[in-house]
Amino acid sequence: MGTARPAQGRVTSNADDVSALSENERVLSALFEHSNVGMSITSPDKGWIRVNRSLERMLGYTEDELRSRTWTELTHPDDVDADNAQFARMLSGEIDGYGLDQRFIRKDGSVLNTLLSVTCLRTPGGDIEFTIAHLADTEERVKAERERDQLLHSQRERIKELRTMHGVAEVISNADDVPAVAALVVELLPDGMQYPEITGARISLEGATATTPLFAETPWMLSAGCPGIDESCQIQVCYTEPRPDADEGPFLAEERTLVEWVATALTEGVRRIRGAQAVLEQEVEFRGTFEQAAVGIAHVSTEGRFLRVNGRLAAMLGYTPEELMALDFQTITHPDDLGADLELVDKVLSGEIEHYSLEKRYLRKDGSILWINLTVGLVREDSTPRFFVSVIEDISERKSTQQAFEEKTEALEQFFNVTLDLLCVADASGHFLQLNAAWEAQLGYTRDELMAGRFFDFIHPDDIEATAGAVATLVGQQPVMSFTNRYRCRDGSYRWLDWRSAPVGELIYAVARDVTEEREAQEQLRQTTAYLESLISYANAPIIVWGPDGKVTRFNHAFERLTNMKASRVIGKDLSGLFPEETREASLQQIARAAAGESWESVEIPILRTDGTTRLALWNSANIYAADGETLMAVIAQGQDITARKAAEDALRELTRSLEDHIKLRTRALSASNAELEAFAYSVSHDLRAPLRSIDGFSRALEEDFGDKLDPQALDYLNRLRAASQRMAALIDDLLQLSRLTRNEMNSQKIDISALSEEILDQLAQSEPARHVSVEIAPGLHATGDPTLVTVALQNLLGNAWKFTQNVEDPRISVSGNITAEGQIEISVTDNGAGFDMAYVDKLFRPFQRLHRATEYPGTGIGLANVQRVAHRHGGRVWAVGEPGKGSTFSMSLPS
Amino acid sequence: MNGTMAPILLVEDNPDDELLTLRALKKANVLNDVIVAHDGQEALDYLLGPEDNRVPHIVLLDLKLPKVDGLEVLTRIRASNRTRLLPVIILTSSKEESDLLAGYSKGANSYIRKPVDFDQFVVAVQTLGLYWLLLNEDPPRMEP
Repeated sequence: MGTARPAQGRVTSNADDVSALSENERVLSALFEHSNVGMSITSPDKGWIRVNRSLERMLGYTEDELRSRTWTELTHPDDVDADNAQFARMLSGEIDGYGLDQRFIRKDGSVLNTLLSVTCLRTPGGDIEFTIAHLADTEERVKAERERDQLLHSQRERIKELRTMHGVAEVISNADDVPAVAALVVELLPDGMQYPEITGARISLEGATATTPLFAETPWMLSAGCPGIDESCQIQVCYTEPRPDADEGPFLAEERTLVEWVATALTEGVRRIRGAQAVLEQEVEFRGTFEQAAVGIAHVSTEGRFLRVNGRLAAMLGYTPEELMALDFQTITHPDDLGADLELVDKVLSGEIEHYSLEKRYLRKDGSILWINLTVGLVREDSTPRFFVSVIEDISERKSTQQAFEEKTEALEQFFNVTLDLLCVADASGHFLQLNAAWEAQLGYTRDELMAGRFFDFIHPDDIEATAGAVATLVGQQPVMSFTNRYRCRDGSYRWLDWRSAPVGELIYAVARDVTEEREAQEQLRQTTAYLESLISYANAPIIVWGPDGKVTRFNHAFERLTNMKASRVIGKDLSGLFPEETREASLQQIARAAAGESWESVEIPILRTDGTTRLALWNSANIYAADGETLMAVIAQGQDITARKAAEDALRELTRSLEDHIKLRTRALSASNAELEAFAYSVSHDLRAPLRSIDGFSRALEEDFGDKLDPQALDYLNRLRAASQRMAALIDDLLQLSRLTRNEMNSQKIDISALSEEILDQLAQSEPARHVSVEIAPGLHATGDPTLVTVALQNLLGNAWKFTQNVEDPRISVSGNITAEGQIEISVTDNGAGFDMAYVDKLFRPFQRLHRATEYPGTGIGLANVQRVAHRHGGRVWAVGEPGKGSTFSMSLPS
Repeated sequence: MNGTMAPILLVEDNPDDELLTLRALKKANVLNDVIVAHDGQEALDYLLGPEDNRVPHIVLLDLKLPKVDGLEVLTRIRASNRTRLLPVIILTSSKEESDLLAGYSKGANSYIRKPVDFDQFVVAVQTLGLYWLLLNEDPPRMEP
């Protein structure tokens, strides 16, 4: 909203143009009434003539209420003068209008901030006819401006505070002592003050006073004490001119707060400095120790920077402590040793190990190498690593001895390392100075591991004393030859080492050979020998050993018992004394042959006993040769007393011989008897039947030719004659068969029992076609045997079955087989015929034994005897089960 | 007797057997002349003797004979050109396997065991006659 300035001459009084005017009047009137800006027309004495609605709303008065008042009456008293002054200038014609920020008092008493714009309408004579006042509400703008001012102020405060704090902090960090702090703070103080009128400041501290040049004691001063430091400490700020509101205004309070704050900061700073001084004093004591130490000591940051070093370390390295402090340990460590060191550092930092020791090389300032033994520990604070403490020991002397030695022996190094023997150089204190590769191979340690400690650490506890003795001998400049001790390997086992050592100056040169295997072999040999000794001594067999000269060297207990001679009487004597005179020469020749390398096993040599009797022994001997395999060293012979056995053997041989004679005799008799039997059987078969034939034939002729002259009784006698002769013929046939079964040679082959049974039964059926017999034959029955004999046996069994079922109504015959575990076949023939009483079962298989009358069932009583004979000739047997009237089963076993 | 029919040579040492055999032949209606030799030698004398001796139709030969036994007779019959095809029927008591084997091996044409039962003997002779004298075709006559 701008300041409205009505255009001159626009609003004119023109009586001629009334209509135009009234038109204009309506437009203006609408504008006036509806404007958002408060508008009013006032008299030259500021009386309200007309006001619009906006003004009414702004001031809270109605138009009527305002007409009875002037705007001066409603103006804020503070703004009246300014308004009057400008109004007066307008009245005088100096200006036609003006604008002002002016406050009005509303009807409710509250203040209204406005931008007041005033213009006037003058008469043609120049007098003011009326004035027009616009009041724009500036309440919002004023409020925003006030807030902006407040923000600006607080920002300024903040900046000021920051500047002061920064200043004080900087001062404190830069100052070493309390007066310096005071001096710096006092310089700073006026800058931090709000008012430029502050011209000076003074700080009294610990008896000293720091003052800015312009400081003067004026009545306008602020002061604050620092009771945390001491009672006398005071901060004073002076102002050059007094301020009317200095005692109560808010700004003074701010100044006072600032000064107090500075006092607090100062107190804190001074405390800090004092604390640092106390620490410094402690450190001085510590530093003394630190510096006086005979070894190098350093505090090293976790990154490796030297935080503190002692003079000894600096001297070792050829730096000044300050130069060293600018370095880190990585820089001065020999590059070849850095890796190992860093690895250990990491382990310490990770907590894996607490500290470590390491031999390594530093590089001196001049570039030379310094061998040191480094021991490092870590200082932690609340488990956070703070710094390392390193202790550095100069071992360059030891190293240089070692190195000098190494250089000297460089040429020998190859020999040193290729030999299989263990070579070493050691000092009298028990340290290895050099070891060859064989050590690693033999004991399993690295050489570094072996050289890290004393060699005594590796020696078997039982050997330490002896080893110390050997070392003492060496220190006494005497060589030690063939000294043996045990070294522990990495795997915990021990190896026997055989030493040859010689002192050279202060060093010990030694060669060791692993003799574990030899020792073990010796031990084993010793045990074996002991075992063999006792074996030989207490063996039950006589054992003797003699040399190539024939002298006895060993003679065991069993030999003593054999000869009744004490070993002591035999050993060293000639072997020949052991033999009886009559066989001595032969025995010695045998022994000579054995010595010549001929095998000598199971030779019978008689041995003489002290009582003059002789024992016969069976001997084995072995030649024992020297390593060349040719030189005979000894002969060992082991005997077995076979005197008793020999006698028994002789007796047995005699017995056998007589027995053989006897058997020959018997066999001869037997074959003669067999031949006789043959002839007998032949004669029987030819000659015995002929008379029977005559009896039968002539009986028949008698009957035929003279039958009409004979009475019935004579004819009956003739029939009996014939029947008897025929039975006699059958008996003869069976007897012959029986004898044939015994005599004939066996001709074994596979026999189909099923087929054979069927064939025989068929023949039987043909012989009596009128009979009907049910036959059942198990299929696939086989036996191994002589076909003729087996056929005879089966003919008998089946013939019996056929015969004994002749009186049964429903005759049945079956043939079955059963294979036994022994591999035999049991052939059984079962019938439902006459059967038999088991009480007589024993008689069944004897020749000529019958259980039935011949008139009932014809037969000779030889059939089953034949069956049994056949079975026996095949290694089988026969048996029968039966019951009278129910039938029977006859079984025969044969090879299957 | 039919003079034209070739005779039967019966070689039998036992007079009882000779009588019974002749009786059986007769009962079996065998009409051929029967010449009886009482031992092996006699049989051989007849067969290998004078040429005017009638060659028999068949020989019934016992095995167990005095002087020369049946098997030897058989061997000699087979060895001679004149008689080597002559049917020889062994008629004996034995049925020893060795006898059977030897008889057939040496060229017997048949082997018959004399049964003790005379009736059976007659049947056997009857069958023998029927077969050898009527049914069987004779081998061709061998001229010396």
